[in-house]
Amino acid sequence: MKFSRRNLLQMGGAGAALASFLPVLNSEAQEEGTPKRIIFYVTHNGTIAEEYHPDGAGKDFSFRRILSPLEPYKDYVTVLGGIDLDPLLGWAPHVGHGMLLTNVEPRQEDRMGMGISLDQFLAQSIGQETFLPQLLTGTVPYTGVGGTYMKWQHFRGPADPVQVEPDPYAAFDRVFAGSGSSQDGLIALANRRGSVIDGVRADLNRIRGTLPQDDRFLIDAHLQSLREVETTYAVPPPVCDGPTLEGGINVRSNANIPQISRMHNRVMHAALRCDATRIGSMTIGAPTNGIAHPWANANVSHHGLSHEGTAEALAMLININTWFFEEIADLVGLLHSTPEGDGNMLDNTLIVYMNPLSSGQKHTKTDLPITLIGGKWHFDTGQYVRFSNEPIGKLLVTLAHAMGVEVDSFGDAATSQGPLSGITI
Amino acid sequence: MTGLREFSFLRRRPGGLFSGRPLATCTGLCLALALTGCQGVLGNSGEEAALGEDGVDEVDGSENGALGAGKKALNCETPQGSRSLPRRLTQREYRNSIESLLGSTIDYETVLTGDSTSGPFATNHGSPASTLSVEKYLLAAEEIAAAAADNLDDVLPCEPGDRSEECARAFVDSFARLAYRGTLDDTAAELLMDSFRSASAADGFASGLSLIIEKVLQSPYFLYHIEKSEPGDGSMVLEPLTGYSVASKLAAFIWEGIPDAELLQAAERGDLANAEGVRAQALRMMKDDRAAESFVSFIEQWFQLPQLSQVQKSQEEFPEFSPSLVNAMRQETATFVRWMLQNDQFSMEQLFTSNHAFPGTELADYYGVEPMSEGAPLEFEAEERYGILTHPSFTTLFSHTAETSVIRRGAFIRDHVLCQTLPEPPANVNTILPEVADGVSQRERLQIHTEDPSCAACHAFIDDLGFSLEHFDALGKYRVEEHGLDIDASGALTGTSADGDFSSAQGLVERLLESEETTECAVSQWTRFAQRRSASEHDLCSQRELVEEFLASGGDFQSLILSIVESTAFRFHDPSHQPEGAIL
Repeated sequence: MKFSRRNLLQMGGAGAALASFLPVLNSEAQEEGTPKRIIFYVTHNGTIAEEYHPDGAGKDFSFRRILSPLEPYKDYVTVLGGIDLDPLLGWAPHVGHGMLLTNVEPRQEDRMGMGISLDQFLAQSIGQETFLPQLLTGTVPYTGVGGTYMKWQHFRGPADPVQVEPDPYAAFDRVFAGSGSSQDGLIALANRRGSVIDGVRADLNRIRGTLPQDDRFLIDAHLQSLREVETTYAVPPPVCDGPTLEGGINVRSNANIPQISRMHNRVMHAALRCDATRIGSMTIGAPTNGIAHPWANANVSHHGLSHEGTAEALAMLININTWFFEEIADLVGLLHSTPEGDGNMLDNTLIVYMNPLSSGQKHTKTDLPITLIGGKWHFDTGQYVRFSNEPIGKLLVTLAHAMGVEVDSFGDAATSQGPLSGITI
Repeated sequence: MTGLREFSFLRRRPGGLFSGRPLATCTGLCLALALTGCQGVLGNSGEEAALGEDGVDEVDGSENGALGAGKKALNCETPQGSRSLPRRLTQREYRNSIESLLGSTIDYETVLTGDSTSGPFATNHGSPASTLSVEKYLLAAEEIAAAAADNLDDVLPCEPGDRSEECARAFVDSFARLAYRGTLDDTAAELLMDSFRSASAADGFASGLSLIIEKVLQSPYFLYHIEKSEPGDGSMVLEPLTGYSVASKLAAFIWEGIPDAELLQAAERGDLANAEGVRAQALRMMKDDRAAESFVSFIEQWFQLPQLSQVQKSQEEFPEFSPSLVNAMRQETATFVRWMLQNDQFSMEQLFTSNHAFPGTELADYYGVEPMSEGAPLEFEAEERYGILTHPSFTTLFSHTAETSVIRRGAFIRDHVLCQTLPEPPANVNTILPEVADGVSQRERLQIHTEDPSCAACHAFIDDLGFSLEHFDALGKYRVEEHGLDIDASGALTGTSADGDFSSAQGLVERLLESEETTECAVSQWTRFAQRRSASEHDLCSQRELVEEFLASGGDFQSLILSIVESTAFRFHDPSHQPEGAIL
């Protein structure tokens, strides 16, 4: 029986209902037509166009260096060109990430997103079918206080940013807490948490009443977050075995970024395999990321490299961006090698790679690097398609449709009049 | 996690360069705009006002008056103020609260989500609680409660071994009252006892007690600072904050934590209803070790030193680099701050000009000197050490992996020591620097900034400040040459009331200390930290008074701390004020 939070709550959480869940190795999503999954995967600071964009066009294309890790999955890949962050063309530098998934012009001072992002919209629309409406994880550096630019790219609404989980062990615990625990223990814990959350909610409502009208949005945001936490923690989690992760890795050390990325990939893959969620968001780095990538032979700050201009710097940037796709290919490989129905998990998954800049050096926001992997139920995959200055909003509409959510526009309606044409089946 | 800059009071002005038209490179058409790009636009960060002679400040009417074009006329005859939005505890406040309440500590950087900022400071002012934050509060509370349940006799205010309901009630009365910073009422206490009773009936005393802790640590009464005032008859714009609100603010500012029992009692007695009472408590609190740690935290945040944990250096250029060495540099600056406090020398002058060095073993080894012994700092030559801007912690942080960063050091001084906000670089500007050739200094490499007028407009305000520190390499060591050429650390300070040439870091710092802008900026940074938000327009009169008092004290920070807590802005608020940027 497929796990669904809604089902479980209707059953009143009785222990017997849980007995039918068994740990499985193959994908759980078997009946009623396999549900589709989407993963947003964002990296930053632009790319190197001459090594990113494929040779050729249409179905007759070949990868250059940066996308070459995707070679084994070429017939699943749809590389898109000519999509712009309109109308941000004349804006200041690192400003695209607040608009990339919202299609709403961000607030100038702090790049804060001023609309709901597509991943959050999908989580609200279709996320209730699974234990977790979504899983957001990121291989992001732990930094101290400060930083010139806003880093957020996911928003529940205007100025309401959603944070990604940087710690793969914490992400694992959230998804696979049910594995290896006694059912009675899980139920007792869920009940206890439910009662704590009820108490917190009561306190929030009391405080809300004492606040000026204009301040209540803060309590409302907390109440909404509390409801979301409740749907995860006040129900017993599904029993499904997660991946085996190497223990004891210091997740705050930049030197461990390669291992952390691989752990995030494994947790995400297993979460989808267990049908614990169908909406994922992943990221490596952040806008103006100052991390060096010595494992990719790039020993200088990523952001700094974009403004160096030497041949050496260019080589390092290509290395870094190729490494990003090695990480994506690792995740794709996990999905591709897991049998599902008549095929594999990748057949029912769409990974959307996006970068809020095209040239890191010039901070351009036209012809963004956007590559789709999978989504075969909706897209005519295995091609390189160049559009002519299409706005990001239309891509977001296209993606919503791919997930079965029929919207006419997304964010700013003027720049998202319907989906992109010519790439769907 | 990276910080979220507070939206309300940031006064970044994009300026005339950003007309919305795409720009390939910054030449030609944008030239005319660029020349005025930094003039007339480079404002202060919205808080400083010119000090007028007659109490009313003159608007700077000159369009080419360059910096300071944002100064406004101030009418300070009627009292005015603003107020704070509810704000959640910062990571450090949370950690310190737990330590005060239960004697245990947590690794706040991994256990909690990151804070939003006001200027360089963690504040969480008006920052909504994300789902991840709320989840982390839940998991943290469970972990902390479980640890307390394993140490009941240390945590309970009862005789060892007492596990009665009366003991639980005593625990609620002390623990929850302190955690809620005084605002525990009977209803809340009774609800906590209800939870205790049902949990302990099912699973025993420890289970009940840990349930109390879990609820308290996730309650908004603990997590949120909410300013409350005593309602007046409506005739006054400003209302006095309640005793508990003032106590909370004092504890957040001076201890980065929660009030102790004595401070709460002072609040209940009404001692905090006047400036003298607040001063007395502040003086008491400043003698506690927690105060030194809070002020170390202030300096570290001001100069962004926590980011040192992320620093990476080229092994080729800097074989001695290690995270441990860089951490030792951070510790040196912290030791410097504690030394200033212990010796009653916590001042602008000491902070920016002291030639004292405080190396432990590792750092001393790196410098090739003897480590300091307890309480006896080393003294370096002025050219090698002249205040915090020459500390290895600062110069290492504001550098690239293999070389110094003139731009980052210069921009930091302009933004955070002068509080003069620079406009953004133009949209699609080509930011490629010329290649590094042998025998070429940083200054020569950045020549294009002065040669190309479209770059010079803004870089005239940045580069020279960075050149002043060129004697300090990318891993904090003093040097006299770069690539075989003598270092030239000369330049000119522009855009301030103390403009002029300098030939070294010492020269620049001396000019900075003479400038009004630096004094006003220092006061701004302190009030941001103290108030946990940036100042609004309505706080400018209060800011001006603080600047005057600060100058009268000779730039003494301990005096400033007391001035701040005694000020109207700290103890009153305008309940009708709507903080900018709030989503309605």
